[in-house]
Amino acid sequence: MSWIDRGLSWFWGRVARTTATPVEGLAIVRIGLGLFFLLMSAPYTFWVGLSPPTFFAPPRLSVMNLLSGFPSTAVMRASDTLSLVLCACMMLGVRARISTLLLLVVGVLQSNATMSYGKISHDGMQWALLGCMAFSGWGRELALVPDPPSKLDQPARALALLGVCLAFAMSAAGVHKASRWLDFDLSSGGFLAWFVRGYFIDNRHELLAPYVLSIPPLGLKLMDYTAVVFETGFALALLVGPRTWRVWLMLACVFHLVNTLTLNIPFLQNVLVYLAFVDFSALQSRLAKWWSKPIARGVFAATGAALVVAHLVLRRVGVGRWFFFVFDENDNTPFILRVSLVVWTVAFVVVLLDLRRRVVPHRIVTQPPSATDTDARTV
Amino acid sequence: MLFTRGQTLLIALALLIPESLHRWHKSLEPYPAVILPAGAGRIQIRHHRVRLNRPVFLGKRDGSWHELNVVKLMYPVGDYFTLIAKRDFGFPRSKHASPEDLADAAITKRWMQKRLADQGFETRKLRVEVEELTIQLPTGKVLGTRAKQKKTYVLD
Repeated sequence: MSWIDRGLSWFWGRVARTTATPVEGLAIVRIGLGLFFLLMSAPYTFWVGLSPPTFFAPPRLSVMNLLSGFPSTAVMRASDTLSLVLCACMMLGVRARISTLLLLVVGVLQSNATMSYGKISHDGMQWALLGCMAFSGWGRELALVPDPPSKLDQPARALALLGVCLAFAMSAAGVHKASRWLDFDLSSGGFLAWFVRGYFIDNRHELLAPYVLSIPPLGLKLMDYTAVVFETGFALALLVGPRTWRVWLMLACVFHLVNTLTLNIPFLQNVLVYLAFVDFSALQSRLAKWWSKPIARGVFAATGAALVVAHLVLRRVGVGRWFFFVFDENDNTPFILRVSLVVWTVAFVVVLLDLRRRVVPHRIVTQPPSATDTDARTV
Repeated sequence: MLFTRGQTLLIALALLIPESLHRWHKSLEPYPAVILPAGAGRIQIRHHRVRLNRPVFLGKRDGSWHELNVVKLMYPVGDYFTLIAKRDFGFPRSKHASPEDLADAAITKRWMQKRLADQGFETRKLRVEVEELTIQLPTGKVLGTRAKQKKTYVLD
């Protein structure tokens, strides 16, 4: 074995140990992601077809360059409908692998269209999540039409690859920040630059934003350094071990919570990426008992169908949007931010509980029954 | 080993190439790619003040220019309006534009005229200014504005 193979073996061994999560619990992540898409990030791209032709400016390296202009409204509406159905199929576990892969393809094409105005919004982790999870075996449990056993299902590889993608993307962003923010100069600010642009140009005045300028310069500088350490530390956390990784995922939830409160940037698309590393197998086994009843599966199927139909009907009557069916950021920023706060808080607690289970894996009761217990049994 | 040597190389290239292109020049960033927003820009604080460039969209009403609601002007195009304005809304910059480009520009102009009318502005002209704000810290008070660039687009 050459030194390269030894190095790679060490690397992937560490990553696999860190990211290992029972495959049964991934069904919960699948359902959670489906619900997240249908409730908080619904495919909503038909407006692209309404844009004037001269706005068309796709990135140089994008499939949109194969077209001469924006796709028509009819095409975008059809793709929205297809994506909504695929979200529901993925959530319900109707051949989840193929549903997930189709959703990935349609979703990436739709996002290509929405990013043809001269700006790329970085949602790559969302697509990485779908791409990795399609081969994790997440469609085997709590599924209406389960995926048959397949060699393609390799949860350890899927989670390791997702972990590498997340650690790389975070650390790369952190390194870039470090090159400009670690300057020991109190007269310049990185976090402050984000804040003033949002506050004075984009009118992001919600939650704690009005109080940010009261933070002293040293505090603002410490926020810059904290962001750099947190982001670059992701790569290290991946190699240190499972507990450190979960600590970092927890910090990520705090990071987004603080960003939502101060910068009014929720970045909810990362929430399920973090939750993919949580062990949900206990919840899955509890739901599996309930799942054996036909009525439960019927209710589940009806819920998925109802969510899709609700979107289609509301869009038909002209009020449908992407957040909780009828909201979008043009008119409803305060509501979206408040819901985002709740989502990041819940995600933080879920990762914290997972970390606690990993630190204290078994709760062993060693005390003998008390006298009260004996009395109770006697009665 | 989870991934072979070749597979690891492919993964590394799939991550590193887009990131490197993005860092080298923003316009070379491919989509999709596993990249998260870095936003490594900084702002200078001098004498408890910061300066910031803000794009302002203006319409004409009763003979004078007034700031208009840019979100409504560009709806439903979301938050891309600053970049679109930087590209002069995609209007041809050359005097020798093709008939197709001129026809596309006419469609865009009609689209914008309707939105100006919806907000009660005259539909003949749209102005985009870049103004420099001087902001006092920590009060957040805007001490002054200075117009840095001014472009007027004739829409008819």
